[in-house]
Amino acid sequence: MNLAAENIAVRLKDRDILESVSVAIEPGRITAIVGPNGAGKSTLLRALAGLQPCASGNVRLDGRAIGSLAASARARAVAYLPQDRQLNWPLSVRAVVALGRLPHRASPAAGESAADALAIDAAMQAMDVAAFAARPATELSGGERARVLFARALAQEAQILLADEPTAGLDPAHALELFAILVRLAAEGRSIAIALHDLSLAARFCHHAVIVAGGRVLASGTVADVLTAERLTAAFGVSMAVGRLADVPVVVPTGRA
Amino acid sequence: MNLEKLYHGADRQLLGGLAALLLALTLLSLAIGPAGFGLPRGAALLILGEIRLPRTLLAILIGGALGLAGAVLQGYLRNPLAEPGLIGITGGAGLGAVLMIHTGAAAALALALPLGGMLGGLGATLLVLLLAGERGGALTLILAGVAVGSLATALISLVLSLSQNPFAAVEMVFWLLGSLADRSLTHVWLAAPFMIAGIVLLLRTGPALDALTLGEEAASNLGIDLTALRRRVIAGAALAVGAATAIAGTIGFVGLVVPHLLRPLVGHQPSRLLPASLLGGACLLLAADIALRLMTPAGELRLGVLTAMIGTPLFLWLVWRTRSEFNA
Repeated sequence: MNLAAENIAVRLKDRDILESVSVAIEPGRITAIVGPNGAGKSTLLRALAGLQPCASGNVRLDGRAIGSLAASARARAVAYLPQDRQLNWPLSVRAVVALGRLPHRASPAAGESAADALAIDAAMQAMDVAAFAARPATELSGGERARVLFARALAQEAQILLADEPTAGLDPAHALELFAILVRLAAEGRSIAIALHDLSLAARFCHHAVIVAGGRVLASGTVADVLTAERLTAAFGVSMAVGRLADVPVVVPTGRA
Repeated sequence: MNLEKLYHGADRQLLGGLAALLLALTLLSLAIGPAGFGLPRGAALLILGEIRLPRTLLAILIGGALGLAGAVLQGYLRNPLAEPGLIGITGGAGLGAVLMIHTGAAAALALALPLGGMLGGLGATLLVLLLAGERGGALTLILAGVAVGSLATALISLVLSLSQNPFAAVEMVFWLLGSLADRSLTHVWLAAPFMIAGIVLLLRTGPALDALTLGEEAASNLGIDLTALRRRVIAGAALAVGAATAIAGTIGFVGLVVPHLLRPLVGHQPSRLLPASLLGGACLLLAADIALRLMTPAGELRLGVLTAMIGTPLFLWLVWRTRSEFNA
């Protein structure tokens, strides 16, 4: 499935958050959305998820305006993981992951189907949280909780996966593991977009990148074309060095521009 | 490991247990009262049908409505301290009923009291909706509810202090304390349709409340229409709690304590808490009313007072337990 923002503008409380932004999220690749704090990355993700009405322009899912889809159909197509990791009740890990199956229910009263159980188990396995399926999710560490919530989005089995800072709070091992899963999901044909602050991870694992600054797209294209020292320096207002270390790409801020 | 089956089995046991308890309490409630067993058959049937049956039915319906509304509001507002009175409906219904006593309408027509209560509850609901809007978050609803509730309390105090007739003032205060005494089957027919409609609306919020565990954005992503949910929660609570208060006066703590007690037994999941709180609320209020009739057959103690007397220590214990959990 293709998800595209076409020339969208978003205004919140009389402030322009996004202006004439166009982004295409395509199958088989991970698109990194990078930019300084307050650039509009989260708003862009929310607009792509169909949760943020646009003042102008359109978000289209396979050519159809996302606003014209029924909420449950949209939820089966697009999974979105917000930045704030709310968990208001001490539900078990499995119960949290099972929430991802809500859009797949035939009726509100329907219980869990065999397909639901399979998807929940697979998502827990993929995120390495099956070992504490019965524990209250609120008692887990921040990193474990992030993985549980990511498993919820996986259980949704949507072709499009949008995640806002999914690696924030993850230790290096679990961050790498999460990206290994994302790479695999992309290889299986899913369309993935993530907002990221870790530019080295973006340079290493993502296929495409979009730089957003001041509510506008500064650059978009392949990672090699977009995540360059000049462009990142311009976007972040701090000089950036891009290189390789131990055979992986690294991006390092070196000082004020 | 099949946890889902395990949960459902546990829920069936819990709901079955609560249903059995409710059945036993119902039979007990129909069997006891100041009139002994030695009455002639006709008189006994009259007492059963005209006094004990409406009282029992109302305790079940009102207790269930309050327990369920409490569970739904706690889930919707994601706050374990929420209770039906928080969103102003109870206060509005109380004001409506007090006005009926003040104007003398209640003395002229017995049904004026519950009708006034329902109109007051409706008025409060519309005011809360107007203030909080259809789209706002949980916080705006709490603020609007507290504001409308405070206004209703202020107006009730005003009516009480303006009351020339001390008997009317005492009647108002006693009515506000909450009771199920001297209610007839007419009260049941009057309030039951509204309460049942409210209960049906509230029971259908389960999956949406589950999704809200993850916050409003994640719930929206899961296909939950938050505006429709808000409408359903407010309309359901208004119907169920407004009609309950209009019939029985203010009965506190059932809506607060019942979901609290049952939540750990359903894995803290909002949807599974709803049917349990419906049955649990019915059991608690019916048990309280039975205890009341056994302790003070002449009816000096008010039901609302008793639920508060039971509810407050329970609540204190819950606070204590929660505190030790947080400190652990």
